[in-house]
Amino acid sequence: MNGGRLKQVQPNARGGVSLAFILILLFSPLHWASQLIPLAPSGGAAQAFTFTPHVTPLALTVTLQPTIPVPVGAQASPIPVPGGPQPSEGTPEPAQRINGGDSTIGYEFIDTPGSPRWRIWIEDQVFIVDPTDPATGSLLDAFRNEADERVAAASAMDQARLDRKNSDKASLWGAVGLVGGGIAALASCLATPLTLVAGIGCVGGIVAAIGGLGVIGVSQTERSQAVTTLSQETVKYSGATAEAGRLFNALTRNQGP
Amino acid sequence: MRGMSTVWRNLGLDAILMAVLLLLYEGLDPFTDRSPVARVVRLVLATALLIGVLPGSYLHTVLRRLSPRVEAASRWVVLAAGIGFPLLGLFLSAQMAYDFAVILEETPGLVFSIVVSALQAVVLALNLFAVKNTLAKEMK
Repeated sequence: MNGGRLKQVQPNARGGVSLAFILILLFSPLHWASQLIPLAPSGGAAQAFTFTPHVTPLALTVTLQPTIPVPVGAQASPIPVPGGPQPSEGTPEPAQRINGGDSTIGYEFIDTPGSPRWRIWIEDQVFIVDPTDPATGSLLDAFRNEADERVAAASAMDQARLDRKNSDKASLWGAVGLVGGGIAALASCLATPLTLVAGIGCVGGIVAAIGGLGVIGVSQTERSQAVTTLSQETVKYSGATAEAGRLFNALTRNQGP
Repeated sequence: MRGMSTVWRNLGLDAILMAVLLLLYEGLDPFTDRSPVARVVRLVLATALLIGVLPGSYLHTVLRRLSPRVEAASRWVVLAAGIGFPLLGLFLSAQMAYDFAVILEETPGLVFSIVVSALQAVVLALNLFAVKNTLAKEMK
């Protein structure tokens, strides 16, 4: 029964799809565009388009050379590769100035043609590193990581300090709300008779006092979180500073003055 | 029983002066990024509140008029609030003073928190004195 019904329905559906397809073709912009394009050039007949490429033949001779296996070891990446599409040949490349860290401990890429160098510094000591040696490259990578980690820790410390300051102020505002609301509630709720104004004062005072208490609680929680974050980031900062100093000394020893 | 209303009035003045000091600090703090309009609004509010607590002014009158109602309240509630609130304020402002002195190293904030701590200490002392007098009168 169902199969018979399906057999009856299927031709109709196919016809509908075909009709829809024809309609789409008729009304599609591509169809009309393809009909209009031959009429476009000054109303004249369509002309045949011929294309003759002018190609300069290249005089190349290819010499086959035997392939020699070369051992590939782990290499540090001394030259930074900027992200995004590479410029095409012939386009002058912009000078790469990749830097990190801060004025106390940091690094900067010096893009000199043929010999990329890194300038690294700790306080007033500046050192130019040639990263072609793999050992030096590894040390340089580690130094850059430590300098970046130090900056990230410093930023997190600043944020924690700001959170601490804001939570201190919020706590005091909460105390103002608690005390002010408490005394307002105490005076208003005891009014006899309890007028509308006194009732509003009573409810408002209670709400303000509860709100103030809540603000104190929340801000004290935030403050304790900021204290924890600050101590953690201080440890990270000190560790990164010490490690960067050790790596700087190792790099200066590795390459000489 | 005038001690209860004195304690209550001291607390009222404490809350208003604390709000004045906070507004002044937020309006004048050079270490905070805040628009000039926001600073001016805070300073105007602080001035209005400060004028209000002057003797005979609007807030002072309200406090004076409402204080007799507190005599009907539970004595222990008023006494606990009179000692507990300044103690809480002293704790919070001392915490703030420590943060400004040791962690943030900001002189304006340190001065502000020391002034708030001093205010809380004065209110606490006044309230303790009032409580002592009240209890001494009851003993007699």
